[in-house]
Parts: sequence; C-alpha cells; structure tokens
Amino acid sequence: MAVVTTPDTPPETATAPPTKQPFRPSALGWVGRGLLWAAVAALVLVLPLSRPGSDVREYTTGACFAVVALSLNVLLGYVGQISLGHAAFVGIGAFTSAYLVTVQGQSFWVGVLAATAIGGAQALVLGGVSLRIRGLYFALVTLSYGLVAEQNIFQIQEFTGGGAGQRALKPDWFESEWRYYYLCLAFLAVVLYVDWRMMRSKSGRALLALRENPRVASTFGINVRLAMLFAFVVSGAMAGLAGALLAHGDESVSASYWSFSLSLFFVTMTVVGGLRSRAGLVIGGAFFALLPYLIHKIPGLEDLLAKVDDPVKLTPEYATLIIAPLLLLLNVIRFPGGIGQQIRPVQRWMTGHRFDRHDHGPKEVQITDVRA
Amino acid sequence: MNDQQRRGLVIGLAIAIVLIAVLWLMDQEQSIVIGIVSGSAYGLVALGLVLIYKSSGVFNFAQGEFGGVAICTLYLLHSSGVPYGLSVLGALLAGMLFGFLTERIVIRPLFEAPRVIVLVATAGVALLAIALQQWLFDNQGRPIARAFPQRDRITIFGVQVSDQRLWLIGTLAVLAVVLGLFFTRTNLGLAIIGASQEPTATELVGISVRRLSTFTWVLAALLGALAAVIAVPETGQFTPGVMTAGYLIPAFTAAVLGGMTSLPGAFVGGLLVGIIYAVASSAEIFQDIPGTPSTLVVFLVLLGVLIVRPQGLLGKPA
Amino acid sequence: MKSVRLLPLLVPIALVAASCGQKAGVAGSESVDVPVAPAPETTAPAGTDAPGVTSAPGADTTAPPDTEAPAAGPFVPGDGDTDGVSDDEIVIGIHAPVTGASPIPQTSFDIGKDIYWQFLVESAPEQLFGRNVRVVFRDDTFNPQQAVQVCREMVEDEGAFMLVGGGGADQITACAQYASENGIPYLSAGVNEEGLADLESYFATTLTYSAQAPLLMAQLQERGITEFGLVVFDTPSFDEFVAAVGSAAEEAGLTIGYETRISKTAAEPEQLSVVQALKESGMEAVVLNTSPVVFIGLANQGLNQSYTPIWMGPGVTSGLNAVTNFGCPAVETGVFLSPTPNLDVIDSLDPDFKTAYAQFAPADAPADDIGLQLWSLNKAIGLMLEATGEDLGRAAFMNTLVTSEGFDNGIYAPVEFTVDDHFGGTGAHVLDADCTADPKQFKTVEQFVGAG
Repeated sequence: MAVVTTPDTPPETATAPPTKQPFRPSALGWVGRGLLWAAVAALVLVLPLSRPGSDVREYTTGACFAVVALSLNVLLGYVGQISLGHAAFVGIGAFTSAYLVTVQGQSFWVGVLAATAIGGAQALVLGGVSLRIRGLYFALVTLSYGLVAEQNIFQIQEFTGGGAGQRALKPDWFESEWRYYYLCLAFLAVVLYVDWRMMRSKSGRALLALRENPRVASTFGINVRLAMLFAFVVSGAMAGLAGALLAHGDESVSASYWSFSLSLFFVTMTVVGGLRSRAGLVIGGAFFALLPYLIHKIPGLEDLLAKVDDPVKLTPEYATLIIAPLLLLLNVIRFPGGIGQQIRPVQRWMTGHRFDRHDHGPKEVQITDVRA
Repeated sequence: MNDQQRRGLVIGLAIAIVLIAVLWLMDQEQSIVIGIVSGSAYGLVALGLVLIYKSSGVFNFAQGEFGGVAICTLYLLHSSGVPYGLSVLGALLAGMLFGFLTERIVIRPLFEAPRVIVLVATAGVALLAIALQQWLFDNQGRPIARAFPQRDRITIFGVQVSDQRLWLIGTLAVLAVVLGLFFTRTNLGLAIIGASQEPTATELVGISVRRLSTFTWVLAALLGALAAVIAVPETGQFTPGVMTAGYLIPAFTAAVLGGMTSLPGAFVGGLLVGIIYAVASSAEIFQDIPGTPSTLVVFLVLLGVLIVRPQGLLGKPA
Repeated sequence: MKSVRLLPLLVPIALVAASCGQKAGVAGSESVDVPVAPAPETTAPAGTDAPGVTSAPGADTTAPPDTEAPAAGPFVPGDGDTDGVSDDEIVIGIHAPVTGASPIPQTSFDIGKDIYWQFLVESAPEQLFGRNVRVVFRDDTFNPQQAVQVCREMVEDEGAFMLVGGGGADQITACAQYASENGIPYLSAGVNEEGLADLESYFATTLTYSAQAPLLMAQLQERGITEFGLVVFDTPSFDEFVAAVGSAAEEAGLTIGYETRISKTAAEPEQLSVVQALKESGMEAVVLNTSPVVFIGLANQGLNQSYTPIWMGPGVTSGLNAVTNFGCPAVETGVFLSPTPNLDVIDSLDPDFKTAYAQFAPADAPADDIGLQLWSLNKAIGLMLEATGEDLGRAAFMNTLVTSEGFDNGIYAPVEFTVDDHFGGTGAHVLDADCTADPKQFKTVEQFVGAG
C-alpha cells in the first residue's frame, strides 16, 4: 500500500505523522548569534573596565535596580498584585545590612543574608496580614506601608543612624568599584537563575494561574493562600538583597531615599521593562537607573536639553522626571509588553530560533471581570 | 439604603460620638474642629475618587493632579492680572480639560485592560503632571490668594473658621448629597452605573458608553479642581505636587473608610480622616512614635478597615 | 535615583551651605573695611574653646601673605594632595538640592556660583596666582545618600580640589564624613555640630544653629519678650539646637513657654494643631527651626487664627527673599538671622557685588540674595586660597585655615578657625521681613551681631 508522505517528511519517517524539523540555524546564523552574544558580553563585562569609578558605580546601581525589577515582577507580573510601596522592601534590606555591618561589626555576607531574610520576612508579614485584601485595595495598603517605612520605621535612630544615614562600606576583596560591580552582576545572575527555576516549577505555574483568576486556580487544587505568601516571600527576599547591594554600593543609606516617588519609579521601570520578561526587566531596571547618567553622557544631549530655557533650564534631573512617566504611559497604552516584548524577536533569535518579527510571546488572555 | 448601609451608618455615628467624647475628656476638642476643617478637603478629593471608582472601577491616582493643574492655572492667571473670579473659572476649565485629555488618551485605550494596569497608568499621568509643575516653577513654591478674605467668621472651641473653609465644607456637603442623588435617582446616573457593570448591555440599549466615560472623568476632574481651588488658598501657598503629596493619600484613606462605592461615604470618611490626622499629630500618646506619628496611625486604620469591614462605613459589600 | 520629595521646601540649609564661604581677611590684600557695627571680637562662637588666633609659627597673618612659605600645621599632604589644582585652574565642587525637598532655585544658583570668580579673574587675577576657578555643581536631591554619591563623583570624575556643601544638614554631614575620610577640604555654612565636630577636614564658615541660640535670645530681649515658644523639626540633627536654646534661655533669664517638635512632613492638620497650641499658650514670639515651607505654612495658619507672633529663627533659608515672595503677608512678623545681609545694604559693604552681576550675569538674571550668598562664600574662599599661597595643596590649604588669624570678606562676620575648632562663624546679621516693600523682601536691621 502506498504510504502517503508529505513533501516535508524525510523518507525515514514515512509512516509517522508529518513532523516539522526543528529549526537549526545555519553556520552563518551561528556566527551571527555568537557575535551578538559577544557584543552583549563586551558591553556588560568588558566596557566597565575602561570607565572611571564613578561611572561603574552607576552601572552597579543599574544592576541592583534590575534585581528590584525582577522582584517587583514577581508580584506584579506573575501574581498580578501591585506593590506601590516597594521602596520599603528594598530599604529594609539596605538598612539591615548597613546596621549589621557598621554597627554590629558583622561581615558583608552576613549582612546580605540577613537583608534577604528580613526582606522576605517583612513581605511575608505584610502579605499575611493583607491576604483578604484584594487587588486595588492592596495597592493602597502597600502605598501606606511604604510611607510608614519611610516616615516611621526608617526614623528609628538606633537602627538607621539618624539624619545623615548609616555608612555601609564594601566588603574586603571587593573594595574597588569594578570588583563590586562584578559581584553585583553575579548576584543578578543568581537571582535570574532562581527566577527561571522557580517559574519552571510547579509553584511557579501556580503563581501564574493565580494571576489569571484566583477562583479558577483554587478549583485546580492550588492553595491560593500559600501561593500568594510564597510569591510575597520571594519578592521580598529579592528586594532585600537588592537593598543590601545598593547600600554597600553607595556606601551610605538614608531614610529619605526610600520615598513614595521611588516606589512609583520602581513600578515604572518594571512595567516599561516588560512584565514576565526577564531580559526586558533587566534592561528596564538598568535603563531607568542610568537615565540621568545617559543624558549626561550622550554627547550633545545635555546641551540640546539646555536649549530649552523657558521657563527654566531643562536639566537632566528635570528631564528624567518628565521622560520616565512619558515612557510609562507610552508603554501602558501602546506597548503593553514593554521592552521585553519589543526585543523578544531578537531574544528568540539569540537562543537559536528563527528570527520572527511578529513573535510577541504567548498570547495573553486578559480576564477582566476581576474588579478590585 | 439597605441593611448593610444602615448598619454602617450606625457604626459611623457610634464612632463619631465616642471620638468626640474622648476628645472632650482629653481636652482636645479643637482637634474635632481642626479635623473637620482639614478633612473637608480630603472629602472633596475623595468624592472624585469614588465617582471614578463607581463608574470605571479604577483607582484614579491622577485625581490629586486634576487639582494640581487647576491651582497652577489659578496662580498663573491671577498673577498676570486676571481678576480672581475669572481666574478661578479658568482654573476649573483647565482641570476639566486635563481630565478630558486623560480620559481620551489614557483611559479609553485601556478599557479592557486589568484595573491594576489602569491604576499604574493614572499614576503615570500624575507623575507627568507633577514633573511638569516642578519644571515650570523650578521646584519652588508660590503664593496663592484666597477668594474670601474673612478669616474669623466663626470660632468653635477656640479655632477660627474662615469663610474659605466654610465654603469648602459647604461645597463638599452639597456635592455629596447632589451626587448621591444623581446616581440613585437620575437616568444619567443610573446609566453610568449600568455602563460600569454591564457595558455591552448598556450599548445595546443605545447608550454610548464612551460618552458616559468622558462625562464622568470630566466631572471628576471638576471635583478635583474645585477641591484644590477652594482648599489650597487657605494655606496661602502651594508647591509643585502638593495635591498628590498632601491630599491624595488621605483622600484614598477617606474613600476606603467611607466606602469606595458611596458618595456620602466620601464626605463622612473625609471628616473622619481629618480628625484622625489631627488627633494623631497632637495627642500625647502618639508622640513617642518615631518619625511622623500620623502616618503610622493612618496606616493602621486603613489596614483595620480593610480587614474588618472592607466595604467601609457606607459602601456596598462586593 | 532621584527621589522627588514634593512637600517640604527645606531651603534653609541649602543657603546656609551656600553661605559657607570663608571670610578671609588675612593680611592687607584688598580686605574690605570692617563696617560700623561693633566688629566681633576674635572670640570663638559659643560652645567652643579658646579664642581664635593660634598663630602657629610660620603663619604670617598681618603682613601681605608670604606666598612661598607653606603654613605649618597639623595637616600633612597625602595622596592626591594637589588634585584639582593645576597651573591654570582650581576645581571646586558644590552640591546642593535642586530636586527633592527644600530645593533651591536652580537658575539663581547656576549663575551665582560663577560670578565672583569671573569678577576676580578680571579684576585681580594675581590673587589666585594666575589660576582660574572652575565650579562644578551637582544636585544632591536633598538626600544624604545621593550627596555622598555626587561628592564622590565631583572628586573622582571632575577632579575637585575641595568640596562645598550647598544645603541640608544631613547631606552636609554625610558628604563631610566622606570628605574627611579622604582628606578633602569640605566647607559649608554652619548647621549642626554633632557629627561634624570631629571631622578633620570639615570647616563651618558661619555660625551653627546652636551657636545662634544666644543671639536669638538677645533679639528677643531687645523686643521686650520674656517668654517664647519653640517649634523645631523632629529630626535627630536638630536635637542639639533644642538643647542649646534651652541653656541659652536660662542664661538670658527667658522662659520657654511652649515647646514642641513638628514632623518634617507635617500636613495641614498637624500645622493647625501646633498653631492652636501656640495660640492658646499666648506666646508672643516663637523660635523656629524648620524649613521655609513649613514656616510659611505655620505662619499662614497662624494668620488664619489671628495669631501673629514674632517668628524668629537661625540659619539662612528662612531669611531668603523667596520666603517673602511666597509667604507674605503671613510672614510679615518674621525675623531671621543670616550669615549675609540682604541686598538692601550690600552696596555699603561691597559695591562690587552689583557691578559684577551687571557685568557678568545675563540680562534677565538680576542679582538676588542667593547670588549674594554664593558671592560671599566664594569671596571668602578666594581669600583663603590667596592666603595659602601659590603652592596650593589640600594640606597646605587646611593648615592655612587653622593657623590664620581670620578671614574677613566684609560681608560675613570674620571667619576664624583654630586647630581644635573648625566652627568658624563669629557673627550674623538680623533680617526682618517687610511685606510692604516692593519687591517684598527681607530688610537688614542689624549687622554683624556678635556671638558671646
């Protein structure tokens, strides 16, 4: 009996249902991908070596903000809960580490560990208390909590060192700006890995189910409460870690840094970076952290802005304040997937797939009946 | 008013009576007056918040800056010589225009989006407005004249209440009642509620959901502008972003306390929050709290309300 | 990240720092004649030790500066001692809040920071031995953490020779710590003493808040007040001010009738409550140490309650014309100390100020009080640089500061440092708000009121 074969089917599998060969890049394709990877690596790993210390400090901040974006993404991107007080989570980590290292004389590693733990614990408490509070109301609670952290918790003098803040020197072996930068990159890599593993696991998928529809999720046997708390702990722990890294990077922590505006800034960079896209989040976090720096550095840009002299000169600081929300609005309205969505075709290409300009990730099904 | 709301009203009255009694005993009666006088500003902003929530299901973070745009316009017009009355009118129009643009450019495209994303978008609008104000004024404050010069119209418990404040309280009360009736008795009001709950059905009966949306946002912007224009001159000055930093968060707390779905609730909530702030800032027992005591107290109240009675005093349970 | 605190404008400190110029009156070279009001003795400000001059051997203070001999003193040149100094240029880094709470108007600052140097280079270039001065400015967003960052940037990136704190006690303290750890001279106007007193390379050019307490008592006495209210920000750095006022009051025989701390982020209900309490206590004068925004808020609430005490305070920012611009009529009864006088009398003290502005500033940027603060500061620094001599290095500079008899630029009260006492202020001016003037402004009612 003649076997019907489709033209694509190689003869060996004539009796099997037709399958498509997985896409394999050509040799040239491999070379191209390799070059792009090399370029990225050069930018992130090699470029800092030639820059002055103060520039590298900015890059470190960028790396830490990337961690913050990843942490906020766990709540906003995976679970669908918004935190308008994330500066508190990060700040607690910063002060914890600074306190332990400067006042208690502990080592940097103890400080970082404690900061991560306390960040997670604090998030757990807040999450536990607010379990019954849904969606938008929860946003208000986090907002209020953020204010409490800035205006009450961080004003406890014994813990936070009074007005000028707490010093937090870098650890031995990593005292130079460059070494510390690589240390932070390492931490970033660890966080990315943890995030990746988590989302591949059952708990990760449970979180995503929560975002879609908690009620439906619970019918699948997902313990909604536990999953939520889990998300909180992970988010808080990441945030605490970022805080500790920031503290030692700046070598100083002060209460007024962790303001409501900073929390909004974190939300902006996470959303513009692109929810649920790790690459986008890292780029988003770094980009926003470096925005004033970039404005200073891109030749001619600062002068161009300064031409705007009326009513007041448009300094990089003012420019950042204006650009950030513009990007946020643009993003939310036109490009909901953020940077992550836009670079997805390139990202897929770099991991060995075909370059597909229209690949914008799995289709998102929005369930909009959840009113608060 | 259904049972739940009746119960809420009773609870509210009970709280009020207890609070007043306690304050009387502590010799702090002036906190009541201070609270009511400041709280009326929060209440007016809260009215706008509740309005938007009832009609679009959104927490409007830009509500404060609807007022911010208005107050800036008022300053700019008045300081270039425009008579005060016209300046106020201009300010209200500017606020309404801002609300209109926000609805068209930001809210409309996000009709189907999750409410959390819309919240983020309104926060973006607020941030942009604040950034522009900071740039415009080089981050410096500016004086603002009042509409009604008499400062000591009546004195209660030693606190002088000016004409400006009486107007604020009066406007708040009238608007709360009028809007409450509007949503329960008029066709337009009912249509707005209907549109928020069943947009498709509303369209099917021939009502343009889009037009309703524009209408409510412009109305909310008007409320925000009114709040700013009447309340801020009482303090004599404004700084960029003051509406969000100083009024929005208490207003949200007021709305939650009173019930996010209840317009009269916003009124009541505003006054209560004002009193809470006044007491928290002045009562002895709170002064040992590190930093700003009222922040912590308000947080606890918010948390308490959301855990114990999430619909607030006068709201409907979800 | 730039954090945007919107509400409180804490400008006072900004300007305090700006006014931290040294009054350098070392030697004959163009020192401005001491004005009519009683010149302060060379007594150190309250709370410090021996009177000013400890002439270390080798430090010549009366003859024209010996430009060759380096001043002997406790500072030893370390690595990077001559960073920021070249044959043509000296780099000075200033940080101040432009965004964030208590911002200063950036345009005034931007222009004002350079005017004196432009003037000096043209009129007396030999004073700086042929060098130009380049001022680098960074926004510290009113945040100590950010202040340390920008200070580091200015030193490492821009190669600043010395740093100047433009505002904010907390930012100044934070940056001063960094500067002292690295042997970089750091100057600011006087703010608090705690946290700064032990820093090796920190120098306060004007009276600290605590040092101004006795002056405030004197002002109260002059106005026949025996009992006053005290309202101070609830922040640890101001605790010492409260204590200083307490002891100064006791010494002067005055009583504090009502005392309270107010939150930095005090909202309307809190301000109203404080005003109510003050009113009920019947205090005719209130000593305050807050920010201009909170001061204006309190004054307005006071006016609303028909309560108009004399509002008095130390420091600079509350005495700026910006405050009268947006606080009148409520601030009419405000009386504030300031390291510099206001524009109304400057022509008699230093006529070069207005002419320099006319010559070097753009037409739409008239001379203002912020410009004056910066002018005075820069002028003092100029005198200090001159006194150090051509062989300029950080150690030599600081040695000159502590061994010199004093620096008098005619606008500040003379600035005097000793090896043990880096708080160099010796006097202040008294400014009284005048809302009827056009433009509204502060008038200088007393000049060079001495401490102690």
